[in-house]
Amino acid sequence: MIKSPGDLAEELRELPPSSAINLKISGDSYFDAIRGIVDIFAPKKDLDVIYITVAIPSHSIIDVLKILEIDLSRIYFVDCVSHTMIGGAKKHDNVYYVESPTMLENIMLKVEYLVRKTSERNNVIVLDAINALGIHNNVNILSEFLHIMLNNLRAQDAYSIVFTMDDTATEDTNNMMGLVCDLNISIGSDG
Amino acid sequence: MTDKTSIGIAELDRSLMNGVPKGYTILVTGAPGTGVELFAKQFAAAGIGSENVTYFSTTEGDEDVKKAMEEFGWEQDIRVVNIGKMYYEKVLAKNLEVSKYRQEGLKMRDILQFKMSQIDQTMDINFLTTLTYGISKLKPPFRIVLDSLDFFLEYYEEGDVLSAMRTIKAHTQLNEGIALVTMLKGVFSNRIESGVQDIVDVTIELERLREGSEFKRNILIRKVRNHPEKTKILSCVIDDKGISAKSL
Amino acid sequence: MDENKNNSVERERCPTGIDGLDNILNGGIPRGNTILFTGSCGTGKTTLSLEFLVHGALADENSLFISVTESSDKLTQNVIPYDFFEESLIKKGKLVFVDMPIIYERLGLTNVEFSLEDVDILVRAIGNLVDELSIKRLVIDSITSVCYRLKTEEKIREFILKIGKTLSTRGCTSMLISEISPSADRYSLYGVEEAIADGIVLMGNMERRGDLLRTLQVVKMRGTTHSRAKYVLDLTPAGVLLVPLLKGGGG
Repeated sequence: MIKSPGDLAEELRELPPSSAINLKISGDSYFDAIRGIVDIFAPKKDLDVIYITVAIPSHSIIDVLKILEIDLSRIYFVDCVSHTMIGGAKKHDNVYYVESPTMLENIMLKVEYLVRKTSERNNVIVLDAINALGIHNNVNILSEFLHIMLNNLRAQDAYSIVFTMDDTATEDTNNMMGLVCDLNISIGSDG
Repeated sequence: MTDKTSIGIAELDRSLMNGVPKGYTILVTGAPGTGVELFAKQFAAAGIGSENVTYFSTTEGDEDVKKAMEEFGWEQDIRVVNIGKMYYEKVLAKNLEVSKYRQEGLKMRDILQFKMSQIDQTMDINFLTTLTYGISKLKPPFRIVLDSLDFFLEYYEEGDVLSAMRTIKAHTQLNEGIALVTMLKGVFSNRIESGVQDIVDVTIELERLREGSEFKRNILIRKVRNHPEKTKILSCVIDDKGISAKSL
Repeated sequence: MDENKNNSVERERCPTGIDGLDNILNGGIPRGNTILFTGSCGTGKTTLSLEFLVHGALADENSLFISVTESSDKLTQNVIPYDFFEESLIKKGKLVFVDMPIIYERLGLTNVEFSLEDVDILVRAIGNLVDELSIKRLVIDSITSVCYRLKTEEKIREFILKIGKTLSTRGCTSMLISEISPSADRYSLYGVEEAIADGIVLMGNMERRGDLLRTLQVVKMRGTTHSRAKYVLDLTPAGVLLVPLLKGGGG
């Protein structure tokens, strides 16, 4: 169990590109996980970040990143929640909206577009979080989606990190993640 | 203001009603060489001074019309509308171009020369409409010469031509103008010939017969509206002063 | 018979430059094929066909877009937001736009209904342009507008056959864009076009649980094996992107 952002970044740096990681987040370590990836790991590896947000709207994350004084210029968001909220989608340069978290193909298409758009550098793709996608999609279509997207990203030497909120993960989700990801990493304050 | 006007040939005027009543539409027909075109110009010249004369020409150019009039010593103060030339520019020249592209193949430069905005402008022009519109704009007292109806009969549906004729006649009658229309004889169907004759008030036919080593010319008054007694044959002479007539 | 022959020998490909589509087609459209690109309006046919031409022009293949319905000025102004588009392609004559109404006008094809002779004249003129400009890729947008003036099945058949032959003998790979209503149960307005074309690519909108997805499906393509599955597409400044439609039946 990793405890700090720095440790998470170190652990990730050991991994080769094309890795797909199931990052299990427990307790209140959510922002530690984001910091470890976005603020430490990505700059050290010179990666552009593509951040798929399903759990909370992109502007909320952007606000937090600003407070943490994290450089936003190389972070792109695929925002799947704001459109489902009344008055949620605000125009922002680095934010690409998907109408609904059920439009999984469109998530893949936006990610694909951003990978191409940022083709000078390698990418790390963050999916935050599989639990939230599970609310809107059944496990069959979700496995299919992860399988296709993660394979595509592997083929493009990108790192993929899928968040699992440990306390709400179902057995189905855990089984699926075991199938599509290369390894599990846990981050948390307890245990 | 008199209610009669001269046709331009004294004896013919006398044989009709000492001229033709204003508002009349006259048809002049004849085979080629009988002097139909000259008749039209003499008729045009007769209106100069007292009427606004407009000469719609379908075959001759503006200058040709006036030059011919000059040669016979007539005034030339008339307006010539050259429908033939307009037709050539808009239709025949285009057809010529089209056949070139069809034969020799279309080149990119032929396409580049053309702008989409030009397309509407080259839409088919209906010259029959151009004619009737032109006539409807004339202010009385006016004298119209249409030389000749053949052009329209060749390119447009006969029904449309007859309907245009009726429009011209109605406008002439209403405004007490005078109109003369020429048409070749024996070229078009009886249906058209009688259709046109039915519309006009006076029909005059020019005739040329061979007698030995000479031509003998006649002017046939074939129809005078409501005056069948006035139909008759006059002998006709054409010399350097134009057409003159004598009672036989 | 010809079809079998074509299938046995691997034919040279004309890569569309649209990665997703080239993957579906195992490398691209067999060169010289005439493809019917069909779908209701707003499904991305024009955009996709333009990208096909831009990639061609970038690969030094002269490309021609014949616009039937919309003026080409408007197209060049509005429909080329691609990152990879270079203005110079048009200036150098690699990418050429022609308005069909000008071709009609120049050839005197002003009748509302074309005769068989008119069809010949039109096809010959397009052949002339392809020859003159050494065109390797051609798009006609849309063929449906041309078919409106052909009226009868016989003439439409004649037109598609002749244009297909004219273009394939010149090694020109072509997309004929066809408009259909969303509810249509066939791939072309007249039903004739689809039977004759070398390939059919169907573009549409698909509703799934309230979401509307743009889809693309290669229904037929002579001269290559290909996926017949439905794909979801997005029109982006990086070009048309495709991903497989998720089925969600899996488990």
